[in-house]
Amino acid sequence: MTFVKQRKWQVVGAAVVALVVTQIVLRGTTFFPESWNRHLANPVNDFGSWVRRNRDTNPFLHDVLRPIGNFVRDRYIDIRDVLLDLPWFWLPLLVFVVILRSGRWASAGLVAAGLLFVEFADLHKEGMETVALMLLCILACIIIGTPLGVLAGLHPRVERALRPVLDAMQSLPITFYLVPSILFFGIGQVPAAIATIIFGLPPMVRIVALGIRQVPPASVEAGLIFGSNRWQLLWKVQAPQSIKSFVLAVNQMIMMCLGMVVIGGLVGSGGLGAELFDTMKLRSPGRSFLVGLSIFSIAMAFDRTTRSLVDRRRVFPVPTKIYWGAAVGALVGSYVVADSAGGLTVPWTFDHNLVEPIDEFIIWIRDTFGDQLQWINDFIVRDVVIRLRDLLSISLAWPVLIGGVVLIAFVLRGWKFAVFTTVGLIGIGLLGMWEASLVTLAQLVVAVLIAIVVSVPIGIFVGQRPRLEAALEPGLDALQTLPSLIYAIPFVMLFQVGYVPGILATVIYAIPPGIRLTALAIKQVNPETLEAAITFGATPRQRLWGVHVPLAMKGIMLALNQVLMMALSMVIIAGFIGGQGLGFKAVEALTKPDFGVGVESGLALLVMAIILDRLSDSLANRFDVGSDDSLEFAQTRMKLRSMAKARFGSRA
Amino acid sequence: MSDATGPTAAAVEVRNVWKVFGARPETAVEMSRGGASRSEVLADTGCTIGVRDVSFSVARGETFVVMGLSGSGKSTLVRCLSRLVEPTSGEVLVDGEDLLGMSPSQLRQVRRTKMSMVFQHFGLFPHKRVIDNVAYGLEVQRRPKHERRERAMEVLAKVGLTDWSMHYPQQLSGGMQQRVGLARALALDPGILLFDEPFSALDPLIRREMQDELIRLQRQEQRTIIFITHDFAEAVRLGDRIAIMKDGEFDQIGTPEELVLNPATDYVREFVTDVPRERVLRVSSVMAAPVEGVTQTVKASARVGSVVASLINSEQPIGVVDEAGRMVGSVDRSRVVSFLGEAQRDVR
Repeated sequence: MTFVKQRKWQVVGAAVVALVVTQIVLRGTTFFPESWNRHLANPVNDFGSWVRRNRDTNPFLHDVLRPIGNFVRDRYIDIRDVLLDLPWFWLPLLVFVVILRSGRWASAGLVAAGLLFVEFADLHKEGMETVALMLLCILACIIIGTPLGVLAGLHPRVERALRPVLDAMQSLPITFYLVPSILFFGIGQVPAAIATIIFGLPPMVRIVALGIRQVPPASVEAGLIFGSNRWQLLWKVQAPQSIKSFVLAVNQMIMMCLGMVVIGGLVGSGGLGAELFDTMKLRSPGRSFLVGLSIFSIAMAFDRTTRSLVDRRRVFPVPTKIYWGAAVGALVGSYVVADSAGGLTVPWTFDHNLVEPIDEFIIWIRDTFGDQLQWINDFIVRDVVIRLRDLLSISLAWPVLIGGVVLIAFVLRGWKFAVFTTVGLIGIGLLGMWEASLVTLAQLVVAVLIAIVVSVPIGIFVGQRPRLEAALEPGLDALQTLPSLIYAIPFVMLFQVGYVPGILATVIYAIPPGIRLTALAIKQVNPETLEAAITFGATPRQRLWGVHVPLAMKGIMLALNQVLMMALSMVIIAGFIGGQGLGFKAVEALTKPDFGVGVESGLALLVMAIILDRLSDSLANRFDVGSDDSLEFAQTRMKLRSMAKARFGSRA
Repeated sequence: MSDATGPTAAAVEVRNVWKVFGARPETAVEMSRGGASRSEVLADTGCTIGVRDVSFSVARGETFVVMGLSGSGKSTLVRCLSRLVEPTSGEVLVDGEDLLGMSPSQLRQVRRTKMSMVFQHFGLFPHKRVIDNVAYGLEVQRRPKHERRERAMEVLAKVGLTDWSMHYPQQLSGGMQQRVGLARALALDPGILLFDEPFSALDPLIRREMQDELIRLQRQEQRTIIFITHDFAEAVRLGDRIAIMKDGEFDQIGTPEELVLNPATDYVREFVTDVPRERVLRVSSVMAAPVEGVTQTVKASARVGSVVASLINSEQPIGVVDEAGRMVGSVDRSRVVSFLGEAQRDVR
């Protein structure tokens, strides 16, 4: 054991010396040689042209994919037309009565107000397009995902077969969903819908399977012993007891789908996503604000409505039939009244009343704090990001950089992962994505550092104050359910497009899980250990640095891992608002569309994500001080991880 | 009678049942037959022997208790009897029919009409009201709703839960929940009832109350009961016969008296030393020849403990009568005192 350990450190020492020597010898060598680029883009693009040429002749393209595409498009149009024809106040009213049934007045009121806002912002058409695309994807995910999930829950073999597929699906950047969809289905709602459906399936299947498996065995045995057949067991015993997980699955799936549907605006799916991309390009802060708030409102409406189905605070003191009778009455009554008053379409909108003040306000801020904003911008870009980028790309010779990362991989995870890292990094070079990856890495590092510096102290502070934590919880929850594009809006308004808005949006996006995990880690510190410290007369400061922080170090490192994953998921969004690097390439690939670049940048991003995730995860395990993970910790961690993985795809 | 599927007098007859968990059950059975221990089998084949070559038969109306500590295989055994766990080999005859050869639909038919089960952690359906929990067995038989609810109310009355029929299980105490479990099993009016440690999750007072309830029900309607427990006192209270199970095998099968008077192994002896003998042994096992002129009588099947108080108050011997009231023997103070002294010595 010690012998092996000693050998390991001898190897590391030798490697460090070798790296230093190499750096001295290769001084001046900078980028991975461009001539080594394998041009993976070419065969991909050739395949793309082949698909375009053979659309009408190839049996698979013509007889299988095209009918699927047409079917999806037709159903989308059906749903959209129904929604567009509804009186403007019906959807808010409907959502209001559904949520109210769970006894949550405030939630029902806010959500309805949010949906009314969409109408008053004159975004009825765009909003309904988004809702229609969402409904289509949700229905498809439920119809495809539920049976798969039930099968996986009932039969461990199915589960084992599906798991690697689901794992892979959840760790792919969204380009892997969108690029093939565009390739096969052109641009428009269809590729967006198909990418979204494939993207929403894994969480759906997983959670449904989990729900089925969680039914207590005694319940299943009781069902069997009283002579249920297979269907009776499923319908009368297992399904009713996993209904909560089912709704949770739908909720998770919906939130992921929403992120993807918004991104779908990039590939011509229309709706609020497209509107948001347009207004951000037009640099109209007021308009972006309206669209952003509308997306936020729709996200909240979907989230709260599904949650209200299971999370009943107290039963509303009216019998079910009477309640829904009254609800239908209200819908019909309001229709009749509005019809006679000629108000089936929105009678009044904000128009410029809201847009202009916001625009002026932003201009005022820019004028007044222009110097300060400029200073922040310059500091982050010139003094931090560019320097870091130059250090990575110019000062260090590329073989030294690869060697260094591989060495870290070897120390933290052993030789197998070191081999993977070597292959992966050289692969990035061969893809011709070396420089773009370094630019992305520089932005990531800066964003992650800022997020950690902000969230860890807050987490430590909050973790010691349970009431404060409980108060923050809903806010953090809401922040984590938003499509990540929303985070970019305020920063795009204040700064010009470029590195800074992307970095700051990433910081804001990554902070909530950072706070959560740190607070949780602090909370997990055994109270007896703390009492012991107090008994021995430790001051609060000594308790914090001597007990809390060391014992919570693992959790804090997990927060780092989490923040990294969240930041990775923002790379593509950052690319859209001017961040350079892989994100920019991905956006370029989607908007042109250029399949080759899409695949190249997607692969590079995937390799980067895997390496960073595994390394930071091992770092956390190093800090394991023997305190066992409590169940709550493990669960929260799993939940956050799956959310991050999800988002890495969906909202990336 | 060599024909395995032929009729037998027993309600349940178990012949050479094995249950091996793992990928190579045949090899494990062979090794175990050859004398290998459980741990040797596990080390060699990766298989765990849950039940090892168990045979017994239970007469109609008898209460048969399987007693064993955790890991002894008793829960696996009771699941083999209902095929909730598929036995590796052997025969389980219910009313003379081999359960193991049945098709899924035949098996369902047996479960719907002949046998039922009460579970350790109740196994109630949290999404159904008490009444619908009880009616579940009828629901899966697609009986009309009013009929099954009517039947459920009848059974709920038997266990004293009429007022709770519209509640959900979670709103009931542990003891009440297990009454629901019992009622659910009784609703199908099965000839055979399987109990898997039904009272071990309850606290001691409630447990005793439930045992009394079961004894009362059993007096009213004689069913064939196979009862699993880890509590020897419970086994003695309820069982006509008791099987002591250890490492997947039966160490001994016998009436409580037989176990107490002639424990077959040290393992069985360890259990019975803790049991107060006067509560297990019957008067018949300590009585002397009948004597003339007794003023009081006691039944031969009564426990020794029940005559102690009378003997303290009376110098006279007490007559012992059989079920028909014929004088079969007598007990006096000195006999009982010396018997109790013996018990004391055994305990040390």
